[in-house]
Amino acid sequence: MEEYLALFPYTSAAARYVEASTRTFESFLTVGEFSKLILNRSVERVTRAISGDTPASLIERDDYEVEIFSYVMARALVSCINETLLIQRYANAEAQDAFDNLRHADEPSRDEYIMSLLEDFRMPVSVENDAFRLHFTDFVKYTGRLRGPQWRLVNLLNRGSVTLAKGEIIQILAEAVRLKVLSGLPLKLSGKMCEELSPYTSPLKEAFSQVSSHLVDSGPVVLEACPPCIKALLSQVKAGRNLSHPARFALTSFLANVGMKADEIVRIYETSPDFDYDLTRYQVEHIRGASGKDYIAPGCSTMETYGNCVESDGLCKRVIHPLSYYRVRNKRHEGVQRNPREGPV
Amino acid sequence: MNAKTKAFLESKFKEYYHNPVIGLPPRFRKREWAFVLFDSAYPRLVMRRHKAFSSQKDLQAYLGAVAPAHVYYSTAYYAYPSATRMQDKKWEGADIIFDLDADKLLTDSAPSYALMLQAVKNETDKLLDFLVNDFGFDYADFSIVFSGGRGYHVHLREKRLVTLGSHERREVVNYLTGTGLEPEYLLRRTNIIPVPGDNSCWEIRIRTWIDKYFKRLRELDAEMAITELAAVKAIGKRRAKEIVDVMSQDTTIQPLLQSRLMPLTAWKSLIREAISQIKVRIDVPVTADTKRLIRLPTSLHGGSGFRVTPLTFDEFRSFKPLHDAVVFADRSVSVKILKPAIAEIKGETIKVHQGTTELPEHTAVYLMARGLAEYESRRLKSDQK
Ligand code: SF4
Repeated sequence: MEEYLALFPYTSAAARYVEASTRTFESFLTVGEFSKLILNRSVERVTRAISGDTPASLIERDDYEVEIFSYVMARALVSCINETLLIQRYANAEAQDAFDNLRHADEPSRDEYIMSLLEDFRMPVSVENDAFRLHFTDFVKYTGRLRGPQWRLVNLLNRGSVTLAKGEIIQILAEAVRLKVLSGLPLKLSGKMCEELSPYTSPLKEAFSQVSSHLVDSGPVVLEACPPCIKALLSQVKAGRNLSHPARFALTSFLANVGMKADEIVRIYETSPDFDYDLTRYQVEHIRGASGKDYIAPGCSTMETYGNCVESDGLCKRVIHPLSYYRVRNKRHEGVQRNPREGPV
Repeated sequence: MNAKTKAFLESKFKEYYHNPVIGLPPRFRKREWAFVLFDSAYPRLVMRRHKAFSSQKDLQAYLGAVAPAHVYYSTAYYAYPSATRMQDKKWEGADIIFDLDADKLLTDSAPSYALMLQAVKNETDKLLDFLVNDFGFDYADFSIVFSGGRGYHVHLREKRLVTLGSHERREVVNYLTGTGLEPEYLLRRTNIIPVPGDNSCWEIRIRTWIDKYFKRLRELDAEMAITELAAVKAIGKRRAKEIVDVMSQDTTIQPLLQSRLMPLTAWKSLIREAISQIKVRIDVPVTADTKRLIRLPTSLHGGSGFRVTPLTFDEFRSFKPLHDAVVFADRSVSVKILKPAIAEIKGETIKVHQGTTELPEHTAVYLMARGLAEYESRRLKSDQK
């Protein structure tokens, strides 16, 4: 149970735990070992949403109370920063974690988690041979962002319900998590409270404005304009090599940011030996989001940390972000491409 | 529409609203109300919006006093229904409405009003079957309403439905209109057999349609069956003949499936045909909208004078709109006809031509409301302008 609360701190079960606890929000702002842990972990939660590239598995989850309360605190942090895009990315990050946690859990606990989450989100199901029957109203609530015929009611409805496999239920739960996290955000907090949190929110704000300044307007994707790191990742995938999690994130988010459609991105991964259509689809869609900008590709320093900055060239010396590289190259590229005979004659 | 006609219609509507005949929707206090009056702008519609009523008596009194031409309420429930800005109303949920309208059904031919209403009624029947069979609703869950104009409204207020957003309602719409059904996808799911399986109610519907299609062909004489089959995409005359031979061996389509005589393209085109015949033609934006205004059942439709009639399923079955939705009397009224027209009310077909004539009140009201006639006070017959 405690592990469940720590893994899924946005559930009503976790909310009840927080309510029943003697720990108060204010107490986390006073000095002390426990409040330090909480604050650090909550900053980590938001940082992960900003950069999006810290794999969930790297995070220690041994202290369940830290998990639960740092979630509460992270909500306060993003509320004080109060940027719509960040709030959305924060919800995405929690949903991605939920998805990973469910996929990585061993079979018995996974089943237990799934049933608890379904109950927590008030989605009554009947289960038979790992097939879940869900009322259609719940189904349409959580599939709006999912693409593909397998998610359309018109292909599934059977006497008021739809039947889903376990993997699909996990995807639906991840979406339910995203909406649950999103609901109520930004919290209405007093100016005084945000003031007290400002030592933590200021650096986060800074980091966020850095990544968002790298946003590029979408247009046709020009592969030649991609920086060497991205080109290298592309050729690795083409050669049938598996990418590490951070590399995969870097490539997907970069392509999404420059305006590539989810379908096209999924197709790029099709040649990977561990290609799992549903998983890839899910990851790509969530990284991409509705706008293609829900997550921002990692910057050069992060790329370097994970050993993904390779074959950097002359232009690389003048940029700190692969997207800037692309923007510069793309402009130049456009200049060369423009057909002089296309103008008025 | 001249002032005399407006005054006459208003007085007739007042008579109607004078008696306590009004039925209210559930949660009426949380709904926004809107009215169109027989004012100087009428028949141009000037909507008086953002009204709210806290009791049936208040609404009744209002209707009795102003006798509106059209009465609407919001499908949505709001915390503050009378707030004038939408964002201040605080949406709490909304009924889901299906609007079946003749305009959406009949494209080319313009048959009589009566036939048109019959076509819309059949379509409404199809919708109800979908709602009960595929969506699992009970007949008691929805209310069926004759709109008083060119069709029917179906209101659903099931509690799991009312909080759905517009996007989610669109999935329901897409289901009913078969949008997103791809023969390729359906066939891929069934593996070998070239007809859809039974994963979803749509698949079962298509499957049933195909069975019926071949049953009908079997009952035709061979020559006609061949001609009809040969018209299907990718089936030539010779292939059609072979198919008819195999098809008549059995009362099911099994031998035909095993024979693999029908090319995949032909199956696909049959499936497409099935979809286009099975789907329900509803007015899409109405159902997807979470903040629509809808006509009040039991009110009068200002464009016809008919009663917006709420119906139970059994009543719907036997409902004859041009009889049962008529509220005005038979006593005669003098009118000036502006355009030749036909009215089929209470089983009587009346053809009118330009000029002054006497008509039963209900037909007179209908023609005036439609802008086809003006009121003629008998005493003033001589000073016509
Ligand atoms: S310097 Fe930046 S843009 Fe260049 S290869 Fe390295 S990560 Fe990519």
